[in-house]
Amino acid sequence: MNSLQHKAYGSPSFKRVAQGLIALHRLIKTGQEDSPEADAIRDAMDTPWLTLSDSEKGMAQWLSEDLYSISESTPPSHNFPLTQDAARELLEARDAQSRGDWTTALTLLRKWRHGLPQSQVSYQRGQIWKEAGVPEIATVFFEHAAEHEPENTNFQAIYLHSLLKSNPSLAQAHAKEVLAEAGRYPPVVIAHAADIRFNGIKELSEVQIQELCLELIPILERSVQDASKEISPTANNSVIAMLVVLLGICHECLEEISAAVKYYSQAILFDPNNDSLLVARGILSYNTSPHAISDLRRAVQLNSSIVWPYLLLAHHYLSTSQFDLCRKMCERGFDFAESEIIKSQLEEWRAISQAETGFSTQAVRVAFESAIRFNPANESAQRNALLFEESLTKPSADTPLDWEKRTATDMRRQGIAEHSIESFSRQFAFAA
Amino acid sequence: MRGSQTANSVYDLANSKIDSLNAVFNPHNLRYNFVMSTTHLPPLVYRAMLRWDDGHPVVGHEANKLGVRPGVDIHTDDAGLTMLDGSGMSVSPGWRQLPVFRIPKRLRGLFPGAAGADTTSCFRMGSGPFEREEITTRLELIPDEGRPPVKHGVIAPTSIVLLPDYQSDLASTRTAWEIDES
Repeated sequence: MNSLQHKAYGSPSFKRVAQGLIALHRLIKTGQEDSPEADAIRDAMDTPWLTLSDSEKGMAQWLSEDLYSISESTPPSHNFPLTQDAARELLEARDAQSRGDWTTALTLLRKWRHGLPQSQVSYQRGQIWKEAGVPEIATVFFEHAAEHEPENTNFQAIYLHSLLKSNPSLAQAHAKEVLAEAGRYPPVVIAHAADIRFNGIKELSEVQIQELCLELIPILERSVQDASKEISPTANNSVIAMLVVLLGICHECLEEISAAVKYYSQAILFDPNNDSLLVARGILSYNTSPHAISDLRRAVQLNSSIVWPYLLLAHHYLSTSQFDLCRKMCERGFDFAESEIIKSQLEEWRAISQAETGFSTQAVRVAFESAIRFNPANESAQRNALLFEESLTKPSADTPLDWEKRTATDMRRQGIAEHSIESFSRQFAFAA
Repeated sequence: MRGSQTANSVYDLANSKIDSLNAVFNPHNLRYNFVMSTTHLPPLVYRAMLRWDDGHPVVGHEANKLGVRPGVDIHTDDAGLTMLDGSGMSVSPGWRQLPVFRIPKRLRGLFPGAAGADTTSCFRMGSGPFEREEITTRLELIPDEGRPPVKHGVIAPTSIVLLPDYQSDLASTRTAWEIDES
């Protein structure tokens, strides 16, 4: 389910105070609240505290109170029946959460906390802080939910997922531990642990990435089998989808293209409107399967924010002399291009498309100049610009200009190399 | 010595006790100038501090003692002279306005979330409104700027002094601080 995006709660100072309170409550939990370490944490909070707004101070105060549910040695058990009033107000809490009124949501949850299992209260608090954009706090409550109800594997998965946002290095360490003893963990936890490992991929060499993929493939395959045997098919579909995507990524890293396409195709069956999956399969299949163009077109229809479907379709339309469509793809894709090289490429093709569809000389020149400015090493843009200028000095001829174009094989190779695993993994909806 | 020589009994008591404190808390030779203004009530201020056996705060250069952290709470120049830039020892107009991590944990029943050390107490001094006003002839309260009600301020030197003198001036108020956690 897509939740509404809200602005992240709190100033940087609030986040520093929140992190301090979390650290302080960890010491309170072990009876070290009067220790020099605790005093050092308090001292570090003094300066950011002074810059908090009144509402942030109130939020920090109640955060500290909520953290006692974790740091107290004997947390209260839920022994109050859930009355109609409680049920109604807990629904109100959910409404408040959905409209981004975090204070009300947390206050109502706190009011009726004794009517709910402790793990549920912590899970709900984690969800509220997650949606409020403070993963550091969310992680603490998810961790508590997972510790308090270890048999609930979803809590473990959610905790891992949240840890990745709040403390990536600790998440990596946890993920390695999980994968080292994969047989002990359910598929949903394995999927999240593998996802975390891929999020740290930029730290690894090419050889290390291949080693990681070889290590993960048998674990993921076994987890797919395990997940397929489990009883709840609805819940398992999303887990299986995650696992097969990860298998696809592994095979793509190993340049085992047909296996990667097979796994991406399986994942698309679970999630047909996932533009990241469509783009991944489209790139791998570009120039080798007619389905590639339909995958890329579908991703564009879905308004994908990945530049690759626009770039590859622009190339396809340029190669098939559909210049108007090519120009439109260049214009749409430009907003999503992060690298100067790709911006340059899109501008070069826009210039060619404009030249071929009767745009003014000035417009074509501006587009070529833009292409060369973004990437002065773009020799193709320089040669095509020269070709265009020379054509202006010659009498109009029926023969079309012989533009320098890149091959489809070359584009596919670049797509596979540059469509990074990290961004793919980040964009794929792995929300627990 | 600046200002009036008149002092009330609380501050007289402080002056009388400070000799013994000198040996315990301060390596410098303290000069005691604890003379309060006669024209106004010194403002009511609160601060969480470690308590000494006599029920008054411990003097020191840490955030939980009566004193300031050089370079953190008070700014000084290269010569070690205090700067009159609004820096000083943090106080609040009530103990409930102190940072949640400074209010002793045992007060959680009165103030949810309190996470301060239980070895500290909330101390009060003075009785006047929380406004810019002399506390002694050498110290003044400077509330933060902003819309009322202001919830934080500092006790700052009234004039440029050496840092040890400022610390001594703060220390000299020790017995004027009483525990108030009501």
